[in-house]
Amino acid sequence: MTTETLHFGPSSSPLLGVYHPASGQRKMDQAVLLCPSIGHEYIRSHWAMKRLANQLARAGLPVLRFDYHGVGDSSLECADVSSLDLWQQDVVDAAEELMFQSGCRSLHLVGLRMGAAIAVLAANKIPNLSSLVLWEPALHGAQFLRNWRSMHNKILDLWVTPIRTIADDQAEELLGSLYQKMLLREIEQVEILDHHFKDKETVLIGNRVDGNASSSSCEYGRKTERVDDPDEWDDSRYLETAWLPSNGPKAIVAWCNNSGLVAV
Amino acid sequence: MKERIFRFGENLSMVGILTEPTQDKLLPNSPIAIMLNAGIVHRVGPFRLHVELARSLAEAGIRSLRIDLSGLGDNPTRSSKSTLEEVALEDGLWAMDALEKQTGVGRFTVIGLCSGAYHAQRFACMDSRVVSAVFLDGIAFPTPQHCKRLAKKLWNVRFWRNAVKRRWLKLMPIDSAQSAGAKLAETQFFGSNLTREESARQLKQLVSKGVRMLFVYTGGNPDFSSSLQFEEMFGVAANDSLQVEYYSNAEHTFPLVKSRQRLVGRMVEFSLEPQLGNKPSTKHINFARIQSDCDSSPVSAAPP
Repeated sequence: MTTETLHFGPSSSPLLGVYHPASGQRKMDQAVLLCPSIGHEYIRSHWAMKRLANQLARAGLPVLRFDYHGVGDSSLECADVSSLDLWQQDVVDAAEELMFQSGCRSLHLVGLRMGAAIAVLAANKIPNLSSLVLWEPALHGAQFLRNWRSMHNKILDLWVTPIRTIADDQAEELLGSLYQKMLLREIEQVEILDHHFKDKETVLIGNRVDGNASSSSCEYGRKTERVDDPDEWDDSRYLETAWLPSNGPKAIVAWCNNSGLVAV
Repeated sequence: MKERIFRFGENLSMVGILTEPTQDKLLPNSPIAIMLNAGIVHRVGPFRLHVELARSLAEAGIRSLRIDLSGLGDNPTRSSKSTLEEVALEDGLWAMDALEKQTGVGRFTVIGLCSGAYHAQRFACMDSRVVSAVFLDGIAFPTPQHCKRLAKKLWNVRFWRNAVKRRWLKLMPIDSAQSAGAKLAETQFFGSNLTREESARQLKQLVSKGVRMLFVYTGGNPDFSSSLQFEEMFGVAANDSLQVEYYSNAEHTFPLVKSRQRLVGRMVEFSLEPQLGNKPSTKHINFARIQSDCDSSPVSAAPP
């Protein structure tokens, strides 16, 4: 499948993206923007995001996947990022780039884990958003960080010799990356379910979305779809193991193919 | 420092990221570094190691290209009758050809971790344009002395504490026997199939060709336990051109920020040595970023 790797966004600090044009006949005036997770989860899920992008493109939907500032091949270091605002703006810039590349007028936004939270925060800044897909979402930022810290501490505890990692007033090392404390404080405040999406279709897809999410999903017009995929995000043994889901991508392709269709 | 998308290979179907220093910092005659995939991790490297290295090399004046081999990361699988090893070698050849054509520089440093080190070793043997190489946790063979050193660990209280915790709390990292992804990596991208004799022969060939080499091994490699082991394995002693270091307190993929910074600093230093009369120098390296809390036991010729 043909893809195009490209730089976009601010010329002084470009972002890296990979554009997957729709293969064959494009069926609708819609495209899909994939928002990855961060840190080690970004690397673990890179293959899964690529595979999802290929599946969506084969289904007739152009796709852009991209790296936030300080993540993957994009400019800056993770330790340079002081606020979620920067990553929200990255989503907005990526949405513009996708509309430019594809010529489509509306988008589905698919966010994985912390990418789901970033997508939710950015959603109101993106015009013509067709739907939000929150995939294995990190629903509660504080819980997300608690789990990361727990995994980090387990790994350090089993190090060959006693060892400490960076943790001071300014920054904290977590699972291979250095994060500014200001950013972590913002992540701690994230509560995806507090956001109301009156005019946007939203679906939560993942292993854990039938718990807290389902009770409020009807009230706010959200839908949930529980899928059985490897659920190992909080397990330090899988820190470097590729995450290879099979059911989540199928559900996402089906959703994007069937929701809010706009005839070309 | 500037990063741009670099296309190469058949119909320019392959993609890498070329990182270049600003014109005032560029060391024009320095070999271009080529970073190869570590296992199935895409071109950013484990914990973004390759990105950090590329940017540090650029700060020091050295160009680098990080690539995905065919079928990995963003690069397509090639449908050819070649074996995966032949495909990987061809990928490397294409990258070097394209870099030489675009930059006019026909000298390269190949850098790889784990399976990347195996591929780097093959590239170095195959193509005379490879003038230096960095092998991170590359090929290793247990030796009798290695077994004795491991036996000494049995007296270490922390060894037993960790072993008990791992077993009782089920905290063993998922290995290739349990993980489908890792299994795929092992079967399709990892296998070195090299005997110790063949490795030693290749090594001696590289030494005779004048290829500069840096071998870094970590405490995360179960087959390696001391920088002395290199000579035990291959019968080749370390020297200025063949440097061997053992980071006993670092893990295989350098997940800790400080150990990664230290490694990156060391690789930049190694790359700069020819420019600086073969004497490791701190001139271009921001050692303030590098806090040395990782053990290392270099047996390479010590700098003055």
